[in-house]
Amino acid sequence: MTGHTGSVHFRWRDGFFFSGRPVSVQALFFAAYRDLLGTKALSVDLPAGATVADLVAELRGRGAPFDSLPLEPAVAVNRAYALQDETLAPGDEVAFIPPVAGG
Amino acid sequence: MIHASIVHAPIETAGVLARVGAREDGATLLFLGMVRDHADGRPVTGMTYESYEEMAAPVLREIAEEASRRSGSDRVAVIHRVGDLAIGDVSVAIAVSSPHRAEAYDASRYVIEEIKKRLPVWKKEHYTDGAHEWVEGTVPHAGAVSLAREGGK
Repeated sequence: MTGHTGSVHFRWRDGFFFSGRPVSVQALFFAAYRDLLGTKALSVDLPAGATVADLVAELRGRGAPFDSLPLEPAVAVNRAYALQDETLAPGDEVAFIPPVAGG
Repeated sequence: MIHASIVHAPIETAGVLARVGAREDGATLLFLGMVRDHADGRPVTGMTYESYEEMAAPVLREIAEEASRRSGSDRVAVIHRVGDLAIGDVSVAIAVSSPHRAEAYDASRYVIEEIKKRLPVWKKEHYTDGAHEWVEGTVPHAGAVSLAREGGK
């Protein structure tokens, strides 16, 4: 886990030094997460090469109530479930999926 | 013909059943998920279902297709309703048919279990005292979903 975090930071610095273009993504919140945050959608700018984990860290770093989001919430990128280390691209739709309860 | 949809209006169960069945099928099953009047001993007056519809529709279709591959029958229909539901309302209807009963039971069970594991739908229970709470759900697992996809191929 430590190694993973390290590589993410390295990529962040790469982004700043070599390409520098921020990645703007649309974060969506449903059900309990929407109620918690009081918002359905947010546009978030991230450094180039940022991953799902980086987006979560950026949001949680904003303090309450964002810091109540799970450390590793389930997310869908462009409507497909994604892992925490998935790299985000400009315009990606990143949905935070609370535990599901269909049926 | 495989059918999967997310709807806002009440589900016509006869219509769901009519979507399956073929001359070669000796077994037809209809499963209905319904809103019940209690949760953990607490009286419930109704339920609000919410979905991430742009994702839920394709995920539901994917689940139906996987069930079809498992059973070898393309007679699978599943409809999930969202919005405000009352006690006794049908929240989900699953109809399947196949030449023999084992495949139909398996496909029907597979669809409802996968819905509970990964369909991006949430429900809020409304209680008689006016309070309401999101029902504790299941964390969908990205890895498990891709494994299920590979396994179904």
